[in-house]
Amino acid sequence: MWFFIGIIIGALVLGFIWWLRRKNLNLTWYEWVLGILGLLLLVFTLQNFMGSFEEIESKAAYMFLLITGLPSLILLALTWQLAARRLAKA
Amino acid sequence: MLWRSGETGWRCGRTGLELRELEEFMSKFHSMVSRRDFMKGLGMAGAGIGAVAASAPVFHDIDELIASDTAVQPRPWWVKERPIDDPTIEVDFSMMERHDGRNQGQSARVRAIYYGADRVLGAAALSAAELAERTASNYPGYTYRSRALAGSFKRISQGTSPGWAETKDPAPVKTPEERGEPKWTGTPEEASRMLRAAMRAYGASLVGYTELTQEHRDHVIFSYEKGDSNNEKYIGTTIPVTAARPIVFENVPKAYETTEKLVIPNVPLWEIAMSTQGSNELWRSAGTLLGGMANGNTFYNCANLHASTYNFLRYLGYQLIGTIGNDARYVGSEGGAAIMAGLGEASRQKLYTLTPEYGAPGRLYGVLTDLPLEPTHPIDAGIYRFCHSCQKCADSCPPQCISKEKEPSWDLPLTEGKETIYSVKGTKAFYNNLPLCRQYSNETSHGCRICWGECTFTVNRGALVHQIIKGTIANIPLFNTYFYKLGDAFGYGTDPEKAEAWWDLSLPTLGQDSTIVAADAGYGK
Repeated sequence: MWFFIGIIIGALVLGFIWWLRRKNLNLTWYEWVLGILGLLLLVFTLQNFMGSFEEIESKAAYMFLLITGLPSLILLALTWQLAARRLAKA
Repeated sequence: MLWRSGETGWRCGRTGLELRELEEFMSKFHSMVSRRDFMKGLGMAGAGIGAVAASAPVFHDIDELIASDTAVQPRPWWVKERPIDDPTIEVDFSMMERHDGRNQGQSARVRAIYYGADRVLGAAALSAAELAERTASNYPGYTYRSRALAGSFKRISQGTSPGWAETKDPAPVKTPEERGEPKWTGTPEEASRMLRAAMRAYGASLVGYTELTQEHRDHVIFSYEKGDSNNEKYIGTTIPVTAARPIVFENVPKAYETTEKLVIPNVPLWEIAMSTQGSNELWRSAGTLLGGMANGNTFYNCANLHASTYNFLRYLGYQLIGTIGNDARYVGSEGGAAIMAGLGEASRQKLYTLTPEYGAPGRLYGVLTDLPLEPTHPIDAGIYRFCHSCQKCADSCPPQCISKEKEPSWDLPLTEGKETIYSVKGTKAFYNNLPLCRQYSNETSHGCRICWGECTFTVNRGALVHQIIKGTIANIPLFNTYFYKLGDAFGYGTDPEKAEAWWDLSLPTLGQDSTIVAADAGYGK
């Protein structure tokens, strides 16, 4: 399953980069760092959320949503907002 | 595939190829890259790197790497080896005396010393009352089906047939002498790998070895077997030698036993330390009848493992001394052997030895052999150090018999104001009240064992976080207290409700994940 998730994420990232180039948009280095960190944390959350359910540890699964899932979404939202506001000013 | 020693050397039974021919044959399929080709291909023939490459071990393919002397047992990447006889728990052989196997927490006689004969003998009535009360209230893990499951769980007992040095039932295989061929010979490294492979096939999981040094003979081997000494009839009495025999060393070539002694020969010997597995899901039902079954589940295949290992060594022309799975005739502390052989590390709970692969669940055994073996190294996976910070087992222990000290100690504490006679001296350990542990277990209908299911290391492999945390624990002790609290907050551990949820799970055979220690053939994850 993770093989396919890897392929899907790879395709999404590739598509995102193509989309940026097509629109002539650029991200700053810190937007890349925050975005990649957020994405890694999101994948980590998904793996542990699903893995914990496999282990029949439902409380642990939901704790992962809270402890790592929420920060991952915050990081991704931060990246989006930083880029959107910077591009809106330009 | 079967390897036979023939007149012209080793021969592969299935293909009939000589070893040399087989190497040529296999090289067509394996990547046989020479050191020079490899360096040339990478274009990195610098003198410095070349010097390192020349001095480093060279593996022609992955099979050779896995079968190398440095990989007697493939372990997780975070497990580091320590020098022989230097485990993470400090040991002082000069303080250690050969422990009397009759003095242990399970023994009714020993429990009566601390808690009185009345309480010891009254345990069965308390257990029955709890069973009746929980059955009446349909308590989780005491439903009709749970009572049926736990009560019907049967295993073939070791009985009396496996003796100290002979196992007559099932009928033993012929020795090389009886077959008219020489005994098997090989290097200790070859013997170690061969025996591990055989024992894994018979049902062992982790297998390691120690050499039985003079220090081990003088300080580690039990002075008496446990024998029948646990029996309630010995409360307040002296145990006759026929009920629990002394273990003595004699200048004889073979081990033997009489009705009054168990004899270890004064010849070079090695101790085989091994583990069998447990079922995490059953252990997490501890505190119920299913949790009680978790304990028996670890013994399930012991009779077969013992008989098969005994006969394997016998076929090769060597001895097996002691019994796998029958603690009446253990040669010494199984946990001690497991720690010295690098199967796992000591723990706060003291009754269990924690292995990097399994955590607490499973069972440990130690037997002796005169087959020369390559000792395996004690390990450091940060586990014992973690136990200094973690008290999850102690917090969850109903009778509070697990130490909550921050640091381990060389000094045996008193038990109920009396001298502690059931623990082995000479290790810097966390000491537990083992008679109280067993007494409380006997007073329940489920046998307790909650600490096994609560242990921070009793985790499965579904979530990636466990591997990351284990790797961090092994290398960065700074976060140990945080991880202990995190384990609690995330809800890992025992819960009676898990005993009822268990019925709807699809689990491996016997509930044991036998692929945990598999590195080959695509089973390893």
